[in-house]
Amino acid sequence: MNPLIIEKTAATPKIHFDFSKKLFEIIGCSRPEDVRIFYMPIIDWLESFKLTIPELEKPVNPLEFKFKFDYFNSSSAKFLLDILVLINQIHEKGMAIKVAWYFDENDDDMKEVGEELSEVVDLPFEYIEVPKKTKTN
Amino acid sequence: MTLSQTNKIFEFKGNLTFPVIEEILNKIKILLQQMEVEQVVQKRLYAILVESLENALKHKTPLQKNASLQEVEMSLQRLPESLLLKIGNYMPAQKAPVLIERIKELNGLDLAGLNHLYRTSIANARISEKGGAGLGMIEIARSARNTIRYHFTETTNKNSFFVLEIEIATTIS
Repeated sequence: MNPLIIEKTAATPKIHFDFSKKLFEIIGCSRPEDVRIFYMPIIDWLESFKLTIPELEKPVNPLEFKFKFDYFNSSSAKFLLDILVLINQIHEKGMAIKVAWYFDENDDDMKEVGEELSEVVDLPFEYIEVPKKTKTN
Repeated sequence: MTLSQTNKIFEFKGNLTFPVIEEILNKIKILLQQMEVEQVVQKRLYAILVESLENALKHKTPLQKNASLQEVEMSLQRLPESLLLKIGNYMPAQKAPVLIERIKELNGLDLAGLNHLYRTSIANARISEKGGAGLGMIEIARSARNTIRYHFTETTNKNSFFVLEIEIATTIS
């Protein structure tokens, strides 16, 4: 399956989903001008990926989905929830997965919003605090 | 309609577009950094700004017949212990009662109640034709940790000028 790569802009995050590299990450800020136009290709890609799972060789380690947001608006939150629901379905289809939720040091609000999404979708997250001087994005 | 002039650190009047929002956000971000506002407050105010500006963009009513009336007005004021955002836009007068009820509902909830409402709302949210998820006002209320104030001025038979006032404390206890 072809990777999905969308470059980062001031209003949209970088998306890099690539099963061959075991790389799944969303990095940046999300407040797209048109939330549907931005997120639907990502939803479609994950839907297609879900269908290919029976044919895929299962990796030794769980697939890690990394979420590293500076900020996302409320309409992006709805699509993030949809993405997490799909990740959960991918897990239920036999693919071991892990969700890593990054937040800046002292940004408890970003951690809490991750906890909310985790609770709503009933999927455990691993929370990773990023020290200020060594921001990963 | 006038927004108060006192202690204003930023002001915008005009036609709001997505690139204009981008510009406003960048300018205010720099201002808050220069003012050395706490990082948590900067982030919460940023969230309030994005949601309120996007709401104004989605729901503003163009007033092409009266060019002297600005479509959207906003200001940010520095008060002794808080920052006050005022944002106003024209909207159909008939939609006012629904919006008032919504704000009253949110103002009646504490943070735990707002968080609970957010969780139940996001689980059932649908993206509207205008691209909203119906979560913006909840996000504004819980980011502000404060009551949302509002007032309407009827300017024509069909349109009201709706002003939202959101105050956020500059010190997090």
